Amino acid sequence: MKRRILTMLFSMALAGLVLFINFDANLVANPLIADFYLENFNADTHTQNAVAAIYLNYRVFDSIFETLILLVSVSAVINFSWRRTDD
Amino acid sequence: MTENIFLITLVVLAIVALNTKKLRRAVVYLGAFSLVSSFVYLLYGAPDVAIAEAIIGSTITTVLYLVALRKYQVFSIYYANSVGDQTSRYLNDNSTFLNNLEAFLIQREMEPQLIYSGAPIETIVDQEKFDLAIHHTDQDIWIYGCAEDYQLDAVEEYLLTNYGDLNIHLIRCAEGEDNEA
Amino acid sequence: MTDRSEIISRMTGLLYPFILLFGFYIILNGHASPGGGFQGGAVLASVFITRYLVEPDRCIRLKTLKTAEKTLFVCIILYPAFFLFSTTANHSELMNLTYLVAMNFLIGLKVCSGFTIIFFRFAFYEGGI
Repeated sequence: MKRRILTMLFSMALAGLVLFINFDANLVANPLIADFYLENFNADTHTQNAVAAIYLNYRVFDSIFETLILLVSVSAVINFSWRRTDD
Repeated sequence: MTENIFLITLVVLAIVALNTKKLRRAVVYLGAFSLVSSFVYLLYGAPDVAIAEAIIGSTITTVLYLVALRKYQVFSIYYANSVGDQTSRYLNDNSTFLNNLEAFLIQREMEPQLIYSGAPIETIVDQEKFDLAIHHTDQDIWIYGCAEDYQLDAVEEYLLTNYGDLNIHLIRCAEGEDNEA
Repeated sequence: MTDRSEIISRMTGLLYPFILLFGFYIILNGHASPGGGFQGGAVLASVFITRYLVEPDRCIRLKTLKTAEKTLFVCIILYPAFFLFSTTANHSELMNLTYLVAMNFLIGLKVCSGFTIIFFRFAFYEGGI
């Protein structure tokens, strides 16, 4: 019971801290790069979707390493399986 | 304003999912949590993230958790029936006993799987992968279980309250190499 | 899933082509509308996963999927390397559109095979049954 109360107090304090920080910060990030992307994505990549332009053209390393992470996790699942039959 | 309502719903769903007794209901609440959070993403103007959250969170993870629960809950009971000829009386006794044990396990959200075996009890304990192994002589009933299995405590308490008059010996073996991978 | 219900298997059998169509729509239309390779690939993987709910005993050929995933990963690295990073490539509108659609398609197939492998490994090769 005592541990529960302590945990609850700790999480309340953490939530208060997060809310306190959140009230000060401005939610919109530095708009320079976002404005650049929004103005130029159609001329650069000929898409209608800015998200696709970013993850396939401007930040293509992001999607490459995302697929690499998936490949590594698949190999880990195969390697740590219960039955070690290599089909 | 609408976002705030759904954000409060998210917190409520998370607390409910943490405080449910049954794991299956917690999985379903987590699916609802993912669905509401994907709707919140949609309200904030991010339809790509909303699609990904809806598919990953509420379809694939839910099915994966349910299949995993299903696999985890099979509870295999070996019943060593080595005394072949003189068992008519004991078999009747033991069948109600086994039925009650199975009902108790079902009540604890597990799926008992009963395996009758003619092999002697020592080979079963040594070689097979079991959760409970039951063996009886004329007077006594011997139950073997795994020492690290936390369900065994509940089984022992149940047996002591309901079958205190029978001579039940519960033996906790150490976890052998064959029992777990 | 020994006692599977008739209703679920019939309904998922009816829904297969629509889920497949929706997945390919999300993938192939990803450059023009919300969606893309990752989301569409997850939808395609959910087709295989619901197939497990319908017929749990029919095994799937995981080895083919594994080699397909590795090959697709090499393609995903090579296509941007030859198209985006070279200065001599032709960056016209048609080539750009081809690049976007093909990359979405490759990523979608790779994510689909990856999720399917993970799920069937957990379902068939894990646990005590």
